[in-house]
Amino acid sequence: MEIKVMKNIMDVNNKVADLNRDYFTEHGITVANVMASPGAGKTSIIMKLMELSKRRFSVIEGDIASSIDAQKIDGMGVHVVQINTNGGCHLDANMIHTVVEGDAGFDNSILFIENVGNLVCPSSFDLGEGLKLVIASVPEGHDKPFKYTSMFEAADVIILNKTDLLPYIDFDRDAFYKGIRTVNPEAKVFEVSCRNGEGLDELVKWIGGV
Amino acid sequence: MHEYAVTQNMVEIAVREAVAAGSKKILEIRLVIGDLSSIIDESVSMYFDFFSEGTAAQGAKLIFRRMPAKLSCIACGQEYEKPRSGFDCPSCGGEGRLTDAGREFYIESMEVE
Repeated sequence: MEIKVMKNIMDVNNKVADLNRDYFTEHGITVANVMASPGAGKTSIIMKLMELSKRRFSVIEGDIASSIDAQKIDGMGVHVVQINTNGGCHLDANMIHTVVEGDAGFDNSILFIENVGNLVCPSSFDLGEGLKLVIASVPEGHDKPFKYTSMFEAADVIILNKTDLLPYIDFDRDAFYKGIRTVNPEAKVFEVSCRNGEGLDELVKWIGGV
Repeated sequence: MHEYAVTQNMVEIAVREAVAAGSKKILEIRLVIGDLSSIIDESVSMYFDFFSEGTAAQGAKLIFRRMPAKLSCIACGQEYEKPRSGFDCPSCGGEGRLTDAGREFYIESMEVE
C-alpha cells in the first residue's frame, strides 16, 4: 500500500524553533543567530558590539568542545551559557530550548547565539531566532557566497570582517558583492575590522536599533 | 554534513506516518532532496540503517529523487540549472537569482505493508 506523506524532514526541528520563537517574544528577547566559518571573527564581533553598544546583551556559545569563548564573554560580566555539541556540526532548536527556558538571565536582552564554526549545516536549522547574521572574513576569499550558497542566502545581515587585511590579500570585492546579489539581494552588508575598529560604528548603530 | 540529525528526524516522521496508516512495516521511503540542501544520499543511507534498527522502518528501501538548483536570469528571464561554476546565465551572460527549486527536502510517499 502506498501512502502519501509530503512532510518536510526539517519539521521536527522547525516545530521546536517555533516554540522558542514564542518564548523569545514573551520574554522580550531579540535573537541573532551568528554563523560563520571557524576563525572568521564571530566571538570578536559579538564582544565588540557588547563593548560599544549600550543595549543589554546575553550570549549562548555553541562549540564542538571547550568553553574558551564563553570564558571570554563571562569576563565581560555578560550572562553566557555554553553548549558543547560533542562533535555535532551545528546547533539545533532543541539544544536552545533546553538552555533558554526558565533562565531569566536572557530576559529583555539581545541574545547572540554563536553557532558552531561551519558554513554548511547551521543554515539548515532554524533556532527560533529573529535574525541570521553571517560573518565572512577577507582571508577566506571572495568566492564564499558562490560556494556556500545556502548560508549566504539565509542571512539577514552579512558582515565582512578583517577589512584591514584587504591591502595584503587578493580579495575581489566586486566578485564578493556579485555573489551576494545573486543569492541574497535583500541582505544588509557591513564591512568591519575588529582589529582597527573600522566600520564598527555603523554596526553598533544598527544593533542599537534592532 | 548534518545527515546524522536529519536522518534521525526522517525515521521519526516515517514511523509516525506508518503507524497513523495502521502499518507495522515500511517497505520503501521515497525522498525528494534539492541540491541546495547539502544532503548526501549515501550518508543518509548509512545513518538510516543505524536509526531504523528495531523500528517499522528497518530494512526499508530508500529511493532518492534529486532536484537540481535553478536560477532565473534578471536580464533575459530564462530559468536554468545552476552551472558548475558561477551563477551567470548560459544564454546571455546576465546575473542569475536563486529560485525555490533546489531547496526541497521531504518524504514524498512510502510503500507500507
